[in-house]
Amino acid sequence: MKVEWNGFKEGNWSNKIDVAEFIKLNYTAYDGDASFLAGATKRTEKLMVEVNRLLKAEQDNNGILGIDTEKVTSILSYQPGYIDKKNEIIVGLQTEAPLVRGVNPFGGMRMAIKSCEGYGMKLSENVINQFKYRTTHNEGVFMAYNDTMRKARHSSLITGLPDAYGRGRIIGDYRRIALYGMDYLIECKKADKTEFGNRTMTEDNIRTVEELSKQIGFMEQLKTLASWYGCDISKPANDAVEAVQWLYFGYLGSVKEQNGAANSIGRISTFLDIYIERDIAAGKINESRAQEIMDDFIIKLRLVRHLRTEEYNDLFAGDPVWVTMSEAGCTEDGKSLVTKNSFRTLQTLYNLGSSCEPNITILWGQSLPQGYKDFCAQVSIDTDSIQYENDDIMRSRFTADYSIACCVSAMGTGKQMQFFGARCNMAKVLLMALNGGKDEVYGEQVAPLGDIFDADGALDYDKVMAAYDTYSEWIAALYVNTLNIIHFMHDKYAYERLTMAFHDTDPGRLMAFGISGLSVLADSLSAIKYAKVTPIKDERGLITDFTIEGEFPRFGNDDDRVDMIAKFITDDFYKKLVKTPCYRNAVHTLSILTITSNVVYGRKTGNTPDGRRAKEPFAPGGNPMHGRDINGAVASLSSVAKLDYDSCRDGISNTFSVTPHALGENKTAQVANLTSMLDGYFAQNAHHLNVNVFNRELLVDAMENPGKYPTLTVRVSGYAVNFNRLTRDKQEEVISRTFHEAL
Amino acid sequence: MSNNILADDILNIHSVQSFATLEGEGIRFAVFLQGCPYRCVYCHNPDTWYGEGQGTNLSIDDIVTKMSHYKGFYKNGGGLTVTGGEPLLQASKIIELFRRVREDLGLTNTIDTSCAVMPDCIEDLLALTDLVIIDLKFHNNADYNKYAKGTLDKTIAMLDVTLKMGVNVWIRTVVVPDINDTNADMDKYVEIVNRYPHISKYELLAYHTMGEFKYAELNIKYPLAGVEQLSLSKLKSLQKYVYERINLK
Repeated sequence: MKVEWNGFKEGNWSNKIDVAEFIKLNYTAYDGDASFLAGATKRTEKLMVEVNRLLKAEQDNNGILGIDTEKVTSILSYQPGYIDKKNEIIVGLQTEAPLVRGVNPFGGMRMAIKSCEGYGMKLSENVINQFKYRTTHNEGVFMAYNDTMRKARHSSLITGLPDAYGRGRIIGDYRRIALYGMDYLIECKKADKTEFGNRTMTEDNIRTVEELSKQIGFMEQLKTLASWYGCDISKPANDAVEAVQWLYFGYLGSVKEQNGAANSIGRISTFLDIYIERDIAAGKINESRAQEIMDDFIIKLRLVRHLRTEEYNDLFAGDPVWVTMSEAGCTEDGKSLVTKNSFRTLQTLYNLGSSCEPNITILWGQSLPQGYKDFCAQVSIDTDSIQYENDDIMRSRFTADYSIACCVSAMGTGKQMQFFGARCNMAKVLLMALNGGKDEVYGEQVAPLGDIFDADGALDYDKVMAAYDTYSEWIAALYVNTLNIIHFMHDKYAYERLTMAFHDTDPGRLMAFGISGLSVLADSLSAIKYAKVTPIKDERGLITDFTIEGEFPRFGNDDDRVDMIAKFITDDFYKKLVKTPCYRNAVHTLSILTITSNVVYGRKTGNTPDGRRAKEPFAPGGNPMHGRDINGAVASLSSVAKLDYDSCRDGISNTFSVTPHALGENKTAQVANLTSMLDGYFAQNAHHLNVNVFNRELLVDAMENPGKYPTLTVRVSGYAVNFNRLTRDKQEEVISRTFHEAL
Repeated sequence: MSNNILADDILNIHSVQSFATLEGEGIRFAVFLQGCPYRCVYCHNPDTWYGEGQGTNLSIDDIVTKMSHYKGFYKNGGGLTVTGGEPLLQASKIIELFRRVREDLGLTNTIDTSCAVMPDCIEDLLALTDLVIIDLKFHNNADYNKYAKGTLDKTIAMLDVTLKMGVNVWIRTVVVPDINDTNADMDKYVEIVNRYPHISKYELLAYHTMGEFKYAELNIKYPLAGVEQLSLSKLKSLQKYVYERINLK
């Protein structure tokens, strides 16, 4: 047994990489309350003064503190950087100074140049020249796109595709570095390379062997990076500080190398608790020091930044990185994985102030200890910074040691990866079906030519559904084929060498499709079915508006007449996607998640048969349309809970806003009611909930007086943003959402 | 005074709210029943006044089915609250509803009442009730008549019968500027509340004008036009005054 493992219970994990088993054999479950927690130390408070100064300077400077335009970001591009060297416990920055962004042209040079120009800076000729003779991911994709794909992209039928930026949503199992040390991990990859190198050299196998070579090279570079910071990560971590530091180096190397849309850190708090408990038992540290280590670590995660273009920020507002950190949940035999460290990560929101990053995601199980549930609810009420996902439906489908990437995407940690695929505008698919394949805004023939529906009478539900069936079938195939190109090219030109090094060789692959406008489409079909909807044509002969006579049920009121339409849309679209095989035999998954793109999608979509006007935002994710859920929160949640997770295994996002008064008359009642609400929602096999507890007036005031609310955090759609960093239209959309109120 | 037109298992309702937290313990399914004989000057739900010909129908089955679907939300002491309007106008139907909520769903029952009617079946109903929230509007018959077209006697009768039946009671009073907002008023309320040992909570609520728009929509003159909302500081000072004097279960 390795000397660094003294005090650990051995198992299979001692002889092969198996972090999940290590955790199960060694963690100390905690079922008490939050009273043991420690506040911020003097050191932490002092460091936070500097961090807050930097964050304010960043905000005051148009949201960006600086760009290093002279270098291309990679693991060893930058000398060590610090916030305040002598006061830091966990070290390492992406570039040489905090909040200064590196340039990553691997996704596309044009994007890199535009990103710099967007902030009034110029990318150096040196960097541009380095990429002159190199194909980027973006160039690769556009070499292979066919005309239809380009049209579908232009009409925003499918948008936000990772064809010009890093795909992200891949989580390295960085815990492996702490537990095993880099030398052992490199040894394992070398053994795999030898083994795969002796197989039949099919195209797949050649690619795997090449990828292993790339991984090994970057693993060596990570050791060098750590050595620059005075750390030797070739061996396992000796104590809690080293465990956090080793793990963080893995994450840091990843975000230096690649700028994927979501750089999530995985499920780490219970793993780290094992090291903290060992140090506490040995008398090396006390609770205050344990909290201080976690606080310092979280500060580092809050400073991660990527350089983005204006278009990107429009889709994914608020400068998110999705340093999603998943916690709690249960083992496969149903035992709570909550430890004291699950509380410490939440405590950082008090010690360091509320924040949108890391994106703390509670894996909620009915059987989690009440003390922890109550603390989560309290943190939600106080900070609006955390989200909840249903462990009881995920752990059987992804193995118990899964993590969440981005907002709602589950994957086995180090065992599975994802090909991210943005989303398809389903409301527009319906309008295209009515218009014989023409885009209602541009008038362009995007989809195959069909008949335009007559405008001389009410729409016939069965005929509309038949047309919708044809066009959704068409877009499903186009969508899969488009993503196949994107991920083929991403693997080829922008492979995540280091992040993938912390995965099993040949991991399971998921291809994540998405839909937006679910509630608009469901309500539109409901209107056509239950009310009388007559189309109106414009001078081009296209249907661009509707008259609606009579009442119709709306999604969000626990009314099966429309809720079953919404469920049908997701089940049906998933079945259609599966018909086209994915690149690298990936498994199809589907999400109902929009991030903030519901605003952009709405802007690009004409009037819809549910009465929504052109350009109006869609509801986010799986949410009912704003203000249409009128029977209270339980009915609204129950409608969303009917969507089948087995059709939407990439997640069903629901964002919930409630006023403090409506949640209960005092804090104790509010905490109790929020935990009951979460238990009730997840008992219906629902998947995800963002919880916001505030008054609409607060947001209106914050919109007018941003200076008064420097850290106001709002959950939007699978992540949190600083409200001040949203553009006006997105702030207005957040304000217009349904707030569950009480008189 | 009951809705004779409807079948025994059909309630005449204004609306339902599936997530109510202020109408009793825990999270509750609140059914707002249609119809009320009182005409309180500060009423914020004038759209619930008229029974016959107004409102919509909802069957007891529908309510129980919905609530059984939502049971997970209501399990920590939550359940059903009937409010209104004046729920006791439909008391005989509520008995069957309450029986099913208690026996079939294992959830709790709350009545939120102005005590405007005293149905014959009140004892049968209270036997199935976990909590009665009583709106103690004024502390004398004259004010009751003037500002609500009601009487204090009926409220006292409800306090008596709930005491007899051993049902937990909360009391609420809406405080309106210049009508019932003095310490002397508070003394009178406290005197009534302290007479009853089964009251576990007494709440003062501030008069607000959020219901005013409904009067305009219904083309009814707003009785308190021009009266300011009760300020939070005034409410707090009255609450302090009351809590120093009140004895609760």
